[in-house]
Amino acid sequence: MTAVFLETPRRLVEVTIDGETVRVPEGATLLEACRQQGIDTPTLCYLENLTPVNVCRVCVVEVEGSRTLVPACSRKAEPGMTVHTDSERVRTSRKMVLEFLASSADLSLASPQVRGWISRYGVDPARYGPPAPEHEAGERDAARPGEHHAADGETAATVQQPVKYDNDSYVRDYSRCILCYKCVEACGPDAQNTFAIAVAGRGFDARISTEFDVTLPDSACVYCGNCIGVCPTGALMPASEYAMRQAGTWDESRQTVTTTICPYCGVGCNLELHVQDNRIVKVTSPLEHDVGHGHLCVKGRFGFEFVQGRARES
Amino acid sequence: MTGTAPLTPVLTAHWDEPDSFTLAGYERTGGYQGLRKALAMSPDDVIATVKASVLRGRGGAGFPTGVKWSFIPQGDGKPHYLTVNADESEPGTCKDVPLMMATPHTLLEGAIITCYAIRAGHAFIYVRGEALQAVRRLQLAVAQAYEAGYLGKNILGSGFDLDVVVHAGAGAYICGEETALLTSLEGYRGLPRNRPPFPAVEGLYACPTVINNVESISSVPSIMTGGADWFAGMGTDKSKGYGIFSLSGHVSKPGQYEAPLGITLRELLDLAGGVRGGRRLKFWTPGGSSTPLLTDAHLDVPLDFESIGAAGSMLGTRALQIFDETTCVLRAALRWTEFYQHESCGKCTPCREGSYWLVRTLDRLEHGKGTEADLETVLDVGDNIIGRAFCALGDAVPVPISSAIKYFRDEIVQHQKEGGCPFDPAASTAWAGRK
Amino acid sequence: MPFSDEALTRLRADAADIIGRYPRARSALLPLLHLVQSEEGYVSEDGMKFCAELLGCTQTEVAGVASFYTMYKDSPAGEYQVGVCTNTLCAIMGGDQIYAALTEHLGVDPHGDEHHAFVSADGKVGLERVECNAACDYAPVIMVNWEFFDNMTPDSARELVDDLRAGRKVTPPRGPGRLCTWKEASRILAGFGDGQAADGPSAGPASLVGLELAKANGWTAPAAGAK
Repeated sequence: MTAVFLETPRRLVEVTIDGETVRVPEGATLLEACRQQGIDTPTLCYLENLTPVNVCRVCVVEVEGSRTLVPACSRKAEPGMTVHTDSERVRTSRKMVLEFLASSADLSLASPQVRGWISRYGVDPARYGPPAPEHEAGERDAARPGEHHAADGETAATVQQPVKYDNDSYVRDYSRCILCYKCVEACGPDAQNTFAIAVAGRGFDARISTEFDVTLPDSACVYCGNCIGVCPTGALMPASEYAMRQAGTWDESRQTVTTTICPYCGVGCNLELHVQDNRIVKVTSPLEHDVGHGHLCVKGRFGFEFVQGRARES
Repeated sequence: MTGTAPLTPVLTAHWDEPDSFTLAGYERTGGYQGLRKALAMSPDDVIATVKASVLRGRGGAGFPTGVKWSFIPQGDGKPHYLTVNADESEPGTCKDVPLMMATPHTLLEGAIITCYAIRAGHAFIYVRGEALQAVRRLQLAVAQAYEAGYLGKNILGSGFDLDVVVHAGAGAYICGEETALLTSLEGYRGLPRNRPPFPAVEGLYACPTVINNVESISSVPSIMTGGADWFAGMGTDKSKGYGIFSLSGHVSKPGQYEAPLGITLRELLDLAGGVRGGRRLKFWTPGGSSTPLLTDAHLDVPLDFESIGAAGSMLGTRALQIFDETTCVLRAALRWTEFYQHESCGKCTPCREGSYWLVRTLDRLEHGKGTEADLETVLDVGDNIIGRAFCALGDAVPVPISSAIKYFRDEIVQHQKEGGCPFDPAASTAWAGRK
Repeated sequence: MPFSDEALTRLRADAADIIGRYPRARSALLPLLHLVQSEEGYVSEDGMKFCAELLGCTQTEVAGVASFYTMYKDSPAGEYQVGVCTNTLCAIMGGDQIYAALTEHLGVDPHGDEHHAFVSADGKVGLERVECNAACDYAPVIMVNWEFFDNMTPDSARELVDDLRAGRKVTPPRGPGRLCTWKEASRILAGFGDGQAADGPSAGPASLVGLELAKANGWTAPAAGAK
């Protein structure tokens, strides 16, 4: 088949990254340029299928001539830019961001990649003091904007709080939430357009919330689970996975992943079936697939029980 | 400047007249003459005049106003907007609110001229909701201006149309940050946006937008009537014109003093009767809590953008908060840090987490439970917040404590030795020593 | 409590006026929240639903916005909402002592959870700490329903609160003759004036010290046109 260009090929922009000259298509971000060079750049709030919000600040790089460090995930490469991705400023900055997040949120279920960055940058959350006691259920949700808290100098603040388990499909464990906005974007303009969840409150009290903090069944949630698909820390998790983790039976080393096409409708979303002991334990969707771009609907993501039912019959 | 009086009231010149806030009172003192002059010029000539005056932003950053206007693309077919930043809330800053209460038409006239220059048909005055009388006076001024034909269709027969909306904020310091202000004005949580794109290209509703501080816009009518050279004849080499200097705190006569840029704090204190009770100046902010503290070693630094910058601080909003020797610098720094924690929007990690963590550590230091190591961690983390946060609020978080440690390290360490604050808070009150 | 039909008709008319000011309807959300607050004294769930319906967005989005701004209350505010500035300058000039005096006077536990949203049992007076309100030259400052009360002391603060609770006339020194209620103030912020804009002085004494000094000494800016 002959390739047909449907648009003019993009001009190339030349930038210098860590002393190497790199040519990237015009409009490419510094993150894309770094990846093209094989430079591992940490990201938390960035995902290919979402609009960059540049909130986590872990991907920052140094651009010569810029007073501030710039977020690689959204800053476009400009001709002649000189970029440093591993300078002292960049390293200490990444260390601090990861340290702050690790001191206030539980990152134990974050990906091995995240844990790798934590070790690479020498993150030491303990230097912020022992963690404060867990919040009571609903306490953080009730915080008014900018309350004048009495400070407790003896401990480090955390977002620790009881798990929210109020429906059969998924669990919200906001003790793990780093406020990356991905779930809000997936629920809203970037995928589902449901706007069932939003950030409420402000400052350290900011949290992901349904309207008036109602339970998910009472909210506008349609259980597409796209928020789970994008969550980087395990704060949002399918109930099936949560139950197995609680029971101590979740074991990724015994899981296989099979890609198939969703049987429910004609759209043709790809499904990745995570199978453990011959049972589907979770369904995800490949980011790079043209149809779903990592997103699914309630049926594709959660409607797999019938498969196991048939398996039991035979 | 030689030949210029120490105080040069222009914006404040008529604040003492009982009807200064009415249209009649304003017109009686030459009001709307600048607009008439501007409408007789081409918009580009108006921009050129403001550029030539070298008026620099009075909201703190000091960016040249005319240059900002010239960034608005022309002939792009998109609506253009002016947004007046009237969300005055930088601690210590108290010039825009009295201006809007006393002479709201000055601001309005400046806004009309600005819109004419940048070809905007819609302006918004984003005013602090917590200043009710300023809101009332702006609403009255806008209504009177429509009635008199200064707003609406075909202003003064020029063919230029303009609508102005007074928009009251709802309590969020972050909305004084220009991109957060735009997000808030669009009806969302007041979160800052990434720059680039800058508001001049993609501002309100993704259209070209100028955002200027109240005092900047209010200076425009006088530049129209007085001329660019007249304005630039005041002030210093690179910081031209006059500005309102707001003295507050431990000073005999706190208040608003309008003077050419470049006046020193020593001169201003002389005018204001000195530090109260003949006490010694301990520390001060040149332009609000986001500008690093200075001490009595800096009394003779000219209050202009360059000199204050060279002294290690920023001119900011010329909010001169004066603290005498009765004040604990750690208590002051802690309270400002609490303010930033209180006002952090929560969007980015360094500011959201850093402000919270810093308050806890400073609380420990203030209660005498801190250590030398804490001081080092404070400085280290502070260094790593600046320039990493999403916006300037985050950059400001470590400013009070970092500058306090720079000048008063011993005093901070003393808290630890004495197991608490060595100062008597009663001694610093306004009524201390009275009765 | 859901709005009555009468209230809904009135609010919808006001809301249409507000939305008409903006090129895009969503910009009306902040004034709309001030409007619903003027009806009930706080932003209730019904108030937020009202805004969401008018603007075609979800209640979650409206709640996210309302919970961002300190002026929107999530429970009924006092008829007179007293805010003591305890930002650094006011605090050091005595704001901390004033706040302590008022918490004691009103019987509020300054360390308890309720002190963020304290309202006296008769609903007359609410108390809160506020941040810098641009009146530092009048420190220490108290605000009542967003009117300035300047150069306060613990004694004058107690007297002010007693007057408010007793329904005695209180006049803000730099505001209009009649102190409006919390709900009335919210309505002004929604863009509907109370006819009191021309009342009260142009400026307070501290705003004029520089001007008076200049006049006494004959200091002026150079004449226009002079170089």
